[in-house]
Amino acid sequence: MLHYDFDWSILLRPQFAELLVDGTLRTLALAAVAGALSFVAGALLALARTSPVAALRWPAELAVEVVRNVPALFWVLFFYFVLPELLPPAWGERLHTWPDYVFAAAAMGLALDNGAYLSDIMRNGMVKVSRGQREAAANCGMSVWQESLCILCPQSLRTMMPAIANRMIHVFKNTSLCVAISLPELSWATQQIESITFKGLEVTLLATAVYATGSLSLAWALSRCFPAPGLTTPWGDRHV
Amino acid sequence: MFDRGMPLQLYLLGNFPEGLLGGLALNVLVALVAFSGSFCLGHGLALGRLSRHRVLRLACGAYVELVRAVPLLIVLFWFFFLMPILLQVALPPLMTALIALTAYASAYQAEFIRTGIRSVAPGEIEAARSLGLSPLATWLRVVLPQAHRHMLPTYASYFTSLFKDTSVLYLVGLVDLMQTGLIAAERAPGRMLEAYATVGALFFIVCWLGSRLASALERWLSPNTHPAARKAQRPHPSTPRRPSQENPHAHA
Amino acid sequence: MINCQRVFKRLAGRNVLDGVDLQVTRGETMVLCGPSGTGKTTLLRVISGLESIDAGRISVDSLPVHSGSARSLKGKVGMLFQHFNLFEHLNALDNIALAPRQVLGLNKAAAHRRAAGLLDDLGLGDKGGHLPAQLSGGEKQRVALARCLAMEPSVMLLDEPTSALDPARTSQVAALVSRLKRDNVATVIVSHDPQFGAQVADRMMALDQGRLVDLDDELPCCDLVAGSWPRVAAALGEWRPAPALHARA
Repeated sequence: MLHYDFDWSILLRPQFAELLVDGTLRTLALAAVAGALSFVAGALLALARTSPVAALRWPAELAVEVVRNVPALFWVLFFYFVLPELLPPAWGERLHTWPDYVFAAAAMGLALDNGAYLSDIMRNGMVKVSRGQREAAANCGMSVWQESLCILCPQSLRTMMPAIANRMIHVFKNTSLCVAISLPELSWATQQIESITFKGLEVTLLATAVYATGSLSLAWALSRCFPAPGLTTPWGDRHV
Repeated sequence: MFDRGMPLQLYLLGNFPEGLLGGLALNVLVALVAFSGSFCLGHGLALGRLSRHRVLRLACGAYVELVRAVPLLIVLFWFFFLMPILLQVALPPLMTALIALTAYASAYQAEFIRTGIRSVAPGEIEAARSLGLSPLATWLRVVLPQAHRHMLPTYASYFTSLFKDTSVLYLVGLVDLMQTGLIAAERAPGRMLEAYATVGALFFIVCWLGSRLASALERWLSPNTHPAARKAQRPHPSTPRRPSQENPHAHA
Repeated sequence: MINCQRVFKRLAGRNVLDGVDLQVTRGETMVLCGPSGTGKTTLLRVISGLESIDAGRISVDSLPVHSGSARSLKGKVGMLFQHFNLFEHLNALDNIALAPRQVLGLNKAAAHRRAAGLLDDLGLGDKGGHLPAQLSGGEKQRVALARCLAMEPSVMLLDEPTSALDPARTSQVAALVSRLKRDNVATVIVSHDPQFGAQVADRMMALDQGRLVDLDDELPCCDLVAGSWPRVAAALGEWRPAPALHARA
């Protein structure tokens, strides 16, 4: 049925093994960096969107609308190809010659996309906790910053963590989009090896195993730390 | 003069009608076909996961969890590497991409459908049993109508998500909107900004319409949970039971 | 009529139904009284076929109730659930008409006529087009009852019919029960409200450690769950069963 000779030894050949290991590590690193950046971006956007200052609120809302309605792949390409053109020529040149710019652009693109979704999660989470507690904090004489740090954040984070962790798994999967800018991560390595050896199934199987292990173990850890009943979201019925 | 480096028609339709369909129309078409196909397949997977037979339950569960755990690109690789070997003949890339995207989306649809089914009160199913309704009648008349109604906003939102996912298809050789923009940017580097702006704007329009539809559906279904409607609330509290819905883009 | 013989059922390690023998004839109303958790609802559920039994036989009008096969009864045993379980996506009329169309094979017009007739009888003539979410608790209960009656049952099982409603509505529920008696339906009611039970019952029984106890007899002095037994006994007070329908099992 399957007219195909499996040759698992190609995975062990030094040049390919190196590509795969390197790719996996870069994937993990990219996911971690993009995840962290997106968390910060999401938090800032959420704060702006819930701010009483309209000059902060409207641009943030607009930014989130724009980012969410465009594919993540577009943002990755944007940061790599377009951003250097938008900057003053001197800066653009420096970006072009910086060897790690591929990684940086990938991280920024993924972070922007994820940040927009996270800002939604965080905004809803924050709104839930705010009312009476904000009044109590003001009553105690706490400043806005103290109130945010000591009251809002700890409580909100607990309810938001399952949804945030879910999005982080999504970032991990989205790293595969960066083959578009030839970032040597795992999917790129898979593609390269296939194009050289024409042994696509073995290497794709390995890539599948790596991605699946990463996602599933993250999801399992999530369900252990935050035993949320199945498919619920922390903010109730609102769909994202 | 806003010069996109290429006529707008290329962005929208590709080489159609002289040649193959491309551009935005290709993305929309692929998304529609994949959405419809995966909706049907998703039912099979969802019912399989809820089945009494352990083997079927595990098989469907394994498929859904595995597909949701890997990126779309890997699923595309699977189909693009596997199909020529299995079928001994080269399918056009569009066909392979459609099959791959449908298989990928089915896993997600299966989860939405399963959530919807679980949102129907088990008491209603018992009432149907005690009234003598057959299992098929119970599914068709009691469970599925309500399951789908509850999940309509999620389906609309997922269509938008699937449409965005089609942007990846240029990596396997399809000349869609993204590829058209990249070609335009390459041919006229000075007009790169316009090309990207056009691509971005076109994606934005379709997605924005999709998410407006999803919000409208949600408002239509739960008139009392929407802040605007709360002002015109009826005397009887009448919020229909809604399932807590997961982020449609999330895993786990 | 209902006939249960030596019915056993074990749940979570204890005998919820321990050799239950029960006969209820047409037109008779039996009330199962007592504290919650004693298995009264379980008895209703096995009679209706929603749950299976471990031993014994149950039959309704000489038709055997196979373990866990509610569907095969085709609506002959009507179950009024504590929380009504109306089909939320269908209006009142469609809720009532669904089973006659699907199970009895009535055409749409006939089923709707039957449903409309029942709604009129129960005082809900103008609520046919309303969704369950738009109905009050009492109205939902009547729609749920109409849904059962549309299948022309010979047995009706009512699970805590007063608990989901305002206390002021108890008399309305009693009126519904007397309607069932008038229609010659064998009725079993589970209720933790002894006054309501006394009001509607021809016979009152209780489940004690999985066994049926006839409350006409001396009250057993045993240590029952939740200890509400003394209150039940006090509430029963001067109650006496109507002599014409008083039949010992």
